[in-house]
Amino acid sequence: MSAEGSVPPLVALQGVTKRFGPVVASRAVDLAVRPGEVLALAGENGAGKSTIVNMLSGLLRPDEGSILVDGRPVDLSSPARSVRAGIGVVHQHFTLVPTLTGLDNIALAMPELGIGRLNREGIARAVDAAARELGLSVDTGVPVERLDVAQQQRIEIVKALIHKVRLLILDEPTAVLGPEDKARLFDTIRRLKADGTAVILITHKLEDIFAVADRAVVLRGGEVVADAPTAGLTPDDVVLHMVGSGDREQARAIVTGEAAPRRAASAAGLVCRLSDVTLRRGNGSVAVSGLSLDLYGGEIVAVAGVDGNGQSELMRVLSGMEAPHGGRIECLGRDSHGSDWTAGRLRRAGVAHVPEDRRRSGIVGDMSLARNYLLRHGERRAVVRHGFVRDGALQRLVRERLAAFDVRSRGPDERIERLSGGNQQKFVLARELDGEPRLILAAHPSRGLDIKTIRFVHGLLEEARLAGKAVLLVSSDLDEILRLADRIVVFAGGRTFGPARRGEIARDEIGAWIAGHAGAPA
Amino acid sequence: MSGDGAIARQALLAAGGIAALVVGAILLAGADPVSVAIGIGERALFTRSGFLEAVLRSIPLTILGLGIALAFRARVFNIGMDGQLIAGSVAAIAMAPLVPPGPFGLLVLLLCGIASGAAWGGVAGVIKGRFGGNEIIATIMLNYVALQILSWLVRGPMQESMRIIPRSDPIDASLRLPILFEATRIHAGLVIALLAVVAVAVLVRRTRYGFMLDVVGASPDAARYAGIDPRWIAGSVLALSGALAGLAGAVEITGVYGRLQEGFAPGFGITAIAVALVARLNPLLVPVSALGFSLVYAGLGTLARNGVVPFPLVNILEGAIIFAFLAGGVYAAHRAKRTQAETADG
Repeated sequence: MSAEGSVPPLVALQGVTKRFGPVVASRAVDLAVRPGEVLALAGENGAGKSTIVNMLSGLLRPDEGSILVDGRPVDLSSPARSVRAGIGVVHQHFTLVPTLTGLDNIALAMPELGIGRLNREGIARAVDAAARELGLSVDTGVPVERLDVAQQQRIEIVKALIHKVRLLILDEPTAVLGPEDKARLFDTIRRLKADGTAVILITHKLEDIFAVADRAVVLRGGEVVADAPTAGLTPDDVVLHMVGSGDREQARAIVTGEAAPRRAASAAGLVCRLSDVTLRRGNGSVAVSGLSLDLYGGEIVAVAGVDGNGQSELMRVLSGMEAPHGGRIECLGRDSHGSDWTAGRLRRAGVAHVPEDRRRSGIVGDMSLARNYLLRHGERRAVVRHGFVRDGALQRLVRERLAAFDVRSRGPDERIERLSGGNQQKFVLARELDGEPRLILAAHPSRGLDIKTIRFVHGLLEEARLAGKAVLLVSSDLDEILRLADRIVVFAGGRTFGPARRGEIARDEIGAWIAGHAGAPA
Repeated sequence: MSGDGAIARQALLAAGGIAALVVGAILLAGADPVSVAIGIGERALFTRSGFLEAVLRSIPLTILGLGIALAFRARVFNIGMDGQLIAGSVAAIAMAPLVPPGPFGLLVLLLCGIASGAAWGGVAGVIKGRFGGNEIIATIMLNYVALQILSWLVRGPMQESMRIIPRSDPIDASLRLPILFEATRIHAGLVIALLAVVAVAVLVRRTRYGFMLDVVGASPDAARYAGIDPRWIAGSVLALSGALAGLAGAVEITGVYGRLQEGFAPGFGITAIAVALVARLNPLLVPVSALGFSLVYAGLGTLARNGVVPFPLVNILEGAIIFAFLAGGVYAAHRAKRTQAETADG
């Protein structure tokens, strides 16, 4: 960090408070970031991180306090004003139009272009220049829906930086990235820092904080509870501040993932057999071919790899939302060659599914928790009889599950979109693990969650294994996979590597598989 | 949020613009907007015949509006209620000579109307559910098919025995819906409409099928994830809303006309869309909304007949009402979103 104290803050929040009805999302927050400084903003779900981002990006107005740029109070009451003040944001959920090319998406972010003819060559030159400066390679000529998540993120970054940006805010940028892309993102951040751009990095991951940040600010319940240079911090300290517990031992247990995972006494029988399966993407291209894999009860099998290499397709096929495009799957008495390969039938046979895109398919935001529970239990005699929903029984059941899974809500009638991301995910798990499933498909179950909730989710999956259930885990987080999985499969560039037993394979080797080179194809 | 604020502002602006257009249209017709408004209110609300006319009209509009509400909840846009209504009324009249006179025969006629409307809606349902065709185009086209078939029937096989006017012979009086109140035209269809309201409200709020309609309407992705087939829902709800249209047709024909003729329910299927939208797809509000629209029609209809304003003004007014409600809905939705914006952090 450049000479602290002498350099005036580029952007500062002073005593900023933001309320939503009775909920205080930010409480008298003081925050400052200097030019060329990387500031990590950490905290549990609901700690108020996104609220701060939204206030800086002009989406929300603070109720009290002021926001200063270059020491002068500014009015950031619209996104356009925020951009003019030199603040760029890459949101956690990308804001790209899937059918437009990267270039057109970037052009969309340039209102100064007006409504006349687009000077595509001119924009392309500007984009290339911006990308070169960052050392990013972006393909701006194809529709973004055909790009993988990492490339989409690069487009978002270039989109943000096409304007004169002095402060770049990255909201959970590493949540969707594999190890190599993450390293590349950190390189970009370091480059920005060297140019004197300030960066605010919102993250749940301790390793991110210590990899790139100069300073860490920890939020809890809307308040700043710690603000210190990372050089003087340990991961334990950060967790201690995040969870607010004074117990150092407990904090360490959360960081390291406490006791060694327990094993099932004996592996239960074969649950699912995939033979020579071909998976195709929505656009018809082959994502994976020749996949053969057996799933047993009492075992966690993990699929590693960079997103977009067929993991989503595998989950869609195994959950019955699609039939495989080649080969055969036999699962819990159902056969993909028969006519009974549908989501409804597989679910009744005992397949639970924690979907990767919870907001889009796992829940209906506009409906109550109780109704969302019905999404997966609409055939249970206890809650639906003769086609009629028994509201009383449903309410009782949901209330019970909310308590058992510590989902913080105002009860079964609250609309689910009002819950924080972590609580939504806990709700989905509470719903999916209900009714004794035998195969659990978990896609990125801990993505975007805080460390405490992640441990909770991991605990649930380990319990399921102990109870003799088969678990198929898809994750782009290698640490998560190495912690949980008994066997590991890697999807990369249309090939599959493994399965390999954990413990019989080195981390480096998996990393090489993920990168698509070395190792022998399965 | 400022983006939402802009949308809300635009919504209000649009509503204001439409109101100005309506006033302009009345002025162009050479009438005084204020006296037109007063005239509508007077005629519709404060004269017995005007009010009764409105109640009569609200019977089919309620039943049709329920059908629209069901389909629209699943975001299936059934524009073919007019055709399904014709299918229902044709079936009722065609069956009339074959059923025993009396209440049982009448019940059979109504059921035939329901079945026939369901079948006509089901054609669009198959096109949508099985072949993935667009239901809007399918239902509109089927309207024209039904209209032409009706036109042929009342000039051909089903024409009256006198063979003068393009209409059928009247059905047996015992097969007509009884008049509820002496010296009015209000028939037992009113009871049927209210029963339909209760039935549809229960379906929407209390059953798994109603829940599935809402899920498909809110998020087809979530529906597929939950094992609900959106295509099956689309197909079945088209048949179901067709059944209600068929019921409306059978009720209208056995309650008011007693015979088949052309143009007996002009544009009701389209008006029903307005009715359902203004009721915000809530079955319990549909009858209220239907009565409201009927009052406007009744009031304006008299003024038009007296030559104060041209009749098409009714349609302009109808459009203006829908716009005002949609704009109001957009405005309210964005206000709500704004107050809760990003409460959920994370």
